[in-house]
Amino acid sequence: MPDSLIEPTEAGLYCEPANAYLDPSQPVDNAVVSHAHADHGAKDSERIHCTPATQGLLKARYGFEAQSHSFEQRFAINGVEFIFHPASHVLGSALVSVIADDEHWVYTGDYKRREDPTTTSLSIPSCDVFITESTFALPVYKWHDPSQVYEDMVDWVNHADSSTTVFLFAYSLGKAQRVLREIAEYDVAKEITVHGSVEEMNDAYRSIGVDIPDYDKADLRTKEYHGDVVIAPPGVRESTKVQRLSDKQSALISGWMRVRGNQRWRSYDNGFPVSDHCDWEGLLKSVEDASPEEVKTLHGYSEDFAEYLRGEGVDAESWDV
Amino acid sequence: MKAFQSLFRRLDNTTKTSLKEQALQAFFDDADDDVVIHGIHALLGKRDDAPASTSQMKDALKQVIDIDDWMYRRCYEEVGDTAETISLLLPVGRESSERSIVDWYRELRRLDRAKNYQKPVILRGWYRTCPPDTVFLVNKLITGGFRVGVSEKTVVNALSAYTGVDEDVLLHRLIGDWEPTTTFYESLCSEPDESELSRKPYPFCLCYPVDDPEDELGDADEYVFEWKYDGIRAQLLKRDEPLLWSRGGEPLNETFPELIDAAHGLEDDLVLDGEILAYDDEPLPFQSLQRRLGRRDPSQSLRSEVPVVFIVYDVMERDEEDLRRHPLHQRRAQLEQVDLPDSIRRAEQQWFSDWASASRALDGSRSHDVEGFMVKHVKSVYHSGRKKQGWWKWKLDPFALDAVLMYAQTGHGERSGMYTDYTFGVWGDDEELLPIAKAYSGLTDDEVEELDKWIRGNTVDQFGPVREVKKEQVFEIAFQGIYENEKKKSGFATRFPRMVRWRKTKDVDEADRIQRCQELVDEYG
Repeated sequence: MPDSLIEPTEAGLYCEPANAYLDPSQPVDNAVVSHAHADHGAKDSERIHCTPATQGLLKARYGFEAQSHSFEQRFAINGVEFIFHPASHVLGSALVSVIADDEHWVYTGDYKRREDPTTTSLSIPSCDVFITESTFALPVYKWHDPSQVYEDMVDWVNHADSSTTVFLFAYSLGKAQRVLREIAEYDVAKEITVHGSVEEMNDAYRSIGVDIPDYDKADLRTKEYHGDVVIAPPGVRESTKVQRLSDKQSALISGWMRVRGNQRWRSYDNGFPVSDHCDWEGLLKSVEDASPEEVKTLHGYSEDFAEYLRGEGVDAESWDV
Repeated sequence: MKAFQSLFRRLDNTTKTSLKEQALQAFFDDADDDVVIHGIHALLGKRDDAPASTSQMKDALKQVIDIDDWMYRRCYEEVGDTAETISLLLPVGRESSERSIVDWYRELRRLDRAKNYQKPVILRGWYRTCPPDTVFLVNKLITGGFRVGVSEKTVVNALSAYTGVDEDVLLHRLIGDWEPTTTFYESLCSEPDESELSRKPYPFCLCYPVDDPEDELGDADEYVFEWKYDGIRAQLLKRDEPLLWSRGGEPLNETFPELIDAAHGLEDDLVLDGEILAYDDEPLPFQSLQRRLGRRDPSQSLRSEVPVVFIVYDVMERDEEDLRRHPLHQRRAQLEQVDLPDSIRRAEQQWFSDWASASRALDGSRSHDVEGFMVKHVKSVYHSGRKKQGWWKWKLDPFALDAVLMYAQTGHGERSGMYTDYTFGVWGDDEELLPIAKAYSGLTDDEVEELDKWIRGNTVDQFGPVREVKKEQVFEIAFQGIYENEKKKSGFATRFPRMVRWRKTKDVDEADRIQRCQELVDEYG
């Protein structure tokens, strides 16, 4: 048995016996990709392993191919066993089991506990070592029931003047589709439209078999354009087309919006804390579910989370990747 | 708390002033008078009794939830505000509080009268039973400095639109301490009389920016030049009592009591325009003045640490005569006759026969802590607002250096959670980077986000909240001045540094060297 089945390295988490990297930051021989967000890109790697849905999204997004493996389907790389489990972060996102010599490690990638109509529900296997993301690992980050947040959001949208264009900024892959599905239940007084990059991802979701309602594409170029709701990725906010619109209100949909200061210094009018990550309590429950002997924490408040877990008698350490 | 809480939410959920004013007017219209006047009292930050300390609040929280000190501290660092930190740490989603803001003021008086050991017990009860949004607002009322999401100006504009009473009259009536009673509310909204109207400032005469005065303004010798100081513009009215107003229409009597004391000796019926400046033998940087802003009744020690003066440019009224249509040179002649105390002094005037000498003087002024010149036509009238006539501002170009990002620190409060405070360095003689500037502003939100991500992925060392990063990113840093400072490792300090652009294509070797700082100091210091 190796000293440590998985180790943090500059290129990402490295599993030496498999010669494979988990979510590498650069091209490698064997890349195991947890989900299809840009920061987990492994483009130009020799072989990329991921779930079928992630493969579909990677192809739609970046145009590259990968080996796909269904959830709970064992596969082996250089004799080391891997299994994907649903992570419920975005469509196709997976927790990765790595098993060698009876030792079972789980790498979570990004994940959430909340049900989401656009992804498969989270399933955490119990394991020996649990490598968990800790993006929001401070107790001030607690998520409300999203239905309360959507009520506030729809109320805010419906209070805007009929001429005001309301921008709801959300990541184009994952968050946008989840929000579109979930707010379909509410009476929104304005027409909902989507930015082109959101529509592209909606199409990718549809082609994978996830039902996303049809919406018109927001055409910000026409002069008469005003008064709709636009779902767009945050980067669009800086575009001249958006900057030029004077009669607008904008909000960001993100877990960071739980803290007022985060919303205020980015000078959004409003913020809605709907997150595709675990909140503090979700992270604690997940550690309990995995009932591991050791926990490694990654991203965000990883040091605080590890420190807290050690205080609770859990063998925990923060990994910097 | 329902009416006030929903007002607060509407104020907090837009950055648009017109929407904030709408929300306030709806509140004035819908809520009972006693709720309205308590709401105004709270929004204007008039509560200053601090009925409990933040450590008593923290003690109460620790009796409600299980949290270690270090973790509370980390959460506070993330949020940057005690009131909010406590509300975010309480369990989410409970029933809403039936108490109105008037009831809460009564509760806070009870808290104020309670013995110290009882206070956490009272607070604990509130934290257990009230929804977090209410806890946030109640905490804000306890810690004072309520100013959340809305300025005094916005409240007063909305109240003026609602009542028809002039804004300046309202501002004047709201000066100082007052009790939130319905009687006060009635007098606040009543029609003003003559003497009240004369307490209003005149509309300010503003300067229009000019880049190339030779091209745009004609002959230099038709103009008077005054230093453009980095202070705050204000009007001083001497009726029977002195009144000091900011350009934003904010009464400053309680912020600068020493100027009011000094103004008592001025002749009556006099209106002066000028700049309040932190000044101790010479002008102090704006950061010093900032310590005085927004603080009523400053302590004696703060007043002696940051002394202020009022530099007078102009006189708009004297002996009950409106002088605003008189040419500048005549107004100045009147001003010369006014007997002024030490801390209220006439602005120094300069004349130049041509623009080249004016320009040399402007360049030479870099060491004087000024922003540039105000250039005023000798015959200019005191017009209102910013017009392309008579009064101009001619600013110094800022200094600039290409520097390398060395360290980053997370911001507090408004910018919590992300790496937003940066330290930049230039190359020293031994090929090491020497810190030259700390800057927080100048990047777009997207750039800040991108840089935050880069910093997290490229950290080489970490001490407390500070990350040392790989020396790979070059930024153009602009600043208003540079001077030698032995205490700094680089030997130099910069004034008002800010980021102008992220020079992604620039190699770190191309960043500036420490010799460039010496050159700038030699040239302008």
